[in-house]
Amino acid sequence: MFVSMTAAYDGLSDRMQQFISGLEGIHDIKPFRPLFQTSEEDRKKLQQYELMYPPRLHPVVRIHPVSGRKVLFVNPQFTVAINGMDERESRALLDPLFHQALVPEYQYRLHWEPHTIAMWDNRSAQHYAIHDYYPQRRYMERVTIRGGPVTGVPRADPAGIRRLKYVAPAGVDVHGGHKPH
Amino acid sequence: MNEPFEFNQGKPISATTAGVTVAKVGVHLGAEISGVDLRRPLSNEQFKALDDALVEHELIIFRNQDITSENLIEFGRRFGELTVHPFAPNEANAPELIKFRNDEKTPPFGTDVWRPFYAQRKFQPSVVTPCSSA
Repeated sequence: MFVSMTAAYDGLSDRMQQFISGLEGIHDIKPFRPLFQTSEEDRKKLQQYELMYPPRLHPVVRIHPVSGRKVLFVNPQFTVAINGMDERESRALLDPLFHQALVPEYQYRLHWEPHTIAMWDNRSAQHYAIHDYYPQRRYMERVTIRGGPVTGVPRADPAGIRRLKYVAPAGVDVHGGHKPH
Repeated sequence: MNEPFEFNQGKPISATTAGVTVAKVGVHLGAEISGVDLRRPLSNEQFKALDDALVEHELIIFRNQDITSENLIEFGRRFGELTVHPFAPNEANAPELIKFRNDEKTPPFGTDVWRPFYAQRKFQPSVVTPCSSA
């Protein structure tokens, strides 16, 4: 299953589009923790990954580098909070944004057959591997092509109307992933 | 709102460029590609047609491509440098190739969640190409 996050952005109201422009999501591998066991070896491995991949800030609305289209860039897998927002506000905002990916009109469901290849633009589309086949087999191979830095849109709502409460944990590369405007 | 995508203006549902036919299959994303054999290297014109289709349609689908792992790697490299996943199951002699073998002994792990790949990374991958094998 695939979803166009361009369509997901377009489907938001003007007010919401304006509000989320310039916000930054905190992306973390923390939700992958359940993939690791409690053994010392696994805990060490997890720690190593956490050191290799610290939380990153990415714009909530990114600009596709080729088409120039605006894309909603949050996901329930990695986006744990909105930088600079109260934690409850952040959760309340992320919920409807995550929900945009669930709108059937924005999705495409691929029927896989032997020798099917799917190639998606990870800058504008998200994917979901449906677990509807097990214990049938799923054999596939994948390659991934390196991308570039993420560019966001500037803030559209008046500055200074929100109090900063929830900030990224110490050590987060604040403008590491993208060029702020 | 994004302006209507200029590529789409007045464009038919199916179009052929450099022998590559792109047929729209979804409303907001998805197009099926025909007229190209991925066992052979892509010409510059074919590559351009596929690259444009990918940006415009966000997801492109190829059917009946009985290709090898090497063909898949070569195809991917045409679009850019390949990345190595930190912990997905991969090939020892081709670490950029991820192999999923979900069967009765190895059930799938938490892939049933919406995401782009590697959103926690500083530099984001641009394109992902899985290929189902027989």
